[in-house]
Order: sequence, then C-alpha cells, then structure tokens
Amino acid sequence: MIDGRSNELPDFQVFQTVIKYCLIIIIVPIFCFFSVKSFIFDGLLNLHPMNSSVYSAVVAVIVLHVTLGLYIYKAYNESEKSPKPVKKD
Amino acid sequence: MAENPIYGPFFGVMGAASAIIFSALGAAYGTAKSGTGIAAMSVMRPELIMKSIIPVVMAGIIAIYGLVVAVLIAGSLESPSNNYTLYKGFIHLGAGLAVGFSGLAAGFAIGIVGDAGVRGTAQQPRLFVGMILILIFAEVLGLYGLIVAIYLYTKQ
Repeated sequence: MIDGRSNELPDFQVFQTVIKYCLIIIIVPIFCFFSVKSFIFDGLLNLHPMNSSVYSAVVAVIVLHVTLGLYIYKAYNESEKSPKPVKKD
Repeated sequence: MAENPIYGPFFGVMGAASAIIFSALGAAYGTAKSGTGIAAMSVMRPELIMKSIIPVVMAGIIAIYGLVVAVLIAGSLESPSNNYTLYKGFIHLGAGLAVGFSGLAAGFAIGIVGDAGVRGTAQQPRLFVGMILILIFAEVLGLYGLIVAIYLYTKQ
C-alpha cells in the first residue's frame, strides 16, 4: 500500500528500534548471567558453584522475559500511536 | 572412587548436547515457519514488520533455554575419577532431554502459530493480542522443560 506510507515510521527508524531491542534481548540476559554469578552469588554470597549457576540461570531467564515484555510493549504501542492520515476535503 | 564407570560422563555429555541440539531444532523451525509468514505478509503491510518480528524473537528464546541448560550441565561435567557417578550422568541426560524435547515442541508450536497469526494480523489487527497470548502459552511449554531440567540438575 504505497499511499499508506504516511502513517508509518521511516524505514531506518524501524530498523534502529528492532536492532536495538534484539541486541538488548540477546546480550543483556547473557551479561546478567555471568555478572550476577561472578559478582553477587560467587563474590558476595560465596555460594556453592552449582547453586550459584542455578540461581544466576533463573535470574537470566527472568531478565530475558522482562526484555521480551519491553519489546512487546514497544511493538504494541508503536502502531497504536501512529496517527491515522486525516482526510482533508 | 574406583567404582565410577568410565562411561558415566557419556550420558552427561549426551545430555548437554541434546539440550542445545533439540532446542535449536525447535527454534530453527519456529524462526523459519514464522519467517515465511512475515515475508508473505510484509509485501502488502510493511508497516507491521515490528509487530510481526515477535514470533521470531520468541523462537530465539527457546534456543536460549537450551543454551542455559547445556552450559549448566557442561559446567559440572567431570572425569569419572573425579567423583562423577553414573547417577549424575543419568541426571544430566534427563535434564538435557527434558529441555531439549520441550523446546522442540514449543518451537513447532511457535512456528505454526506465528505463521498463521502474522498473516491474520495483517488483515485483522485486533488478532494481535490473541496471537501474543497463544505465543506466550507456546513459549511457556519450553519454560516448563527448563524448570524440570533445572530441578533435575540440582538433584545430586
């Protein structure tokens, strides 16, 4: 729909948003896993290595779902707030 | 420990491998199947790309479940002389198979639902909420496998 282009975001902006959120979804949970494991569970709390792995895996999965929820929220709002083209006559 | 059999770690290694192999199989099917739906839909409605990437992201998360369990299992593999009992090997195999096959099933569900949901959303935007809900229920199947795998893994 070529004439529908007025109510959508520019291509580059959509690309930027999608890439940003995809990188967040991939990188942040992995970063959380290792940082939480080494700094908090192994460093501060001195847990057994197996327990610290399990707890940091749980933390990573929770963080993963939070970032996924952020993306869904963003995608849901993106098209809701895009203004409909006003008919002028 | 002399009584630990030499083939004990074989089961643990197979558990780690099957966790990531089957999860990646499901995630790949989910990505490919919903990807064809996105490609067919985007021809007419390119402004919906951002909404319709969601099944692909959810299929990717299935692979992350398998990755987590595979890393956990691989982290606790030892040689048989280092007190790696056959029981630990079985536990690790069970954990890997649990998350692997749950991920396979969840990936298939996400692929089929994502394909039909994305095509339907292009024609009726109010389907989006329903598609997200169904995708979340499909995703949770993989999460159940992850929970069982982690619970098994902590048995020693």
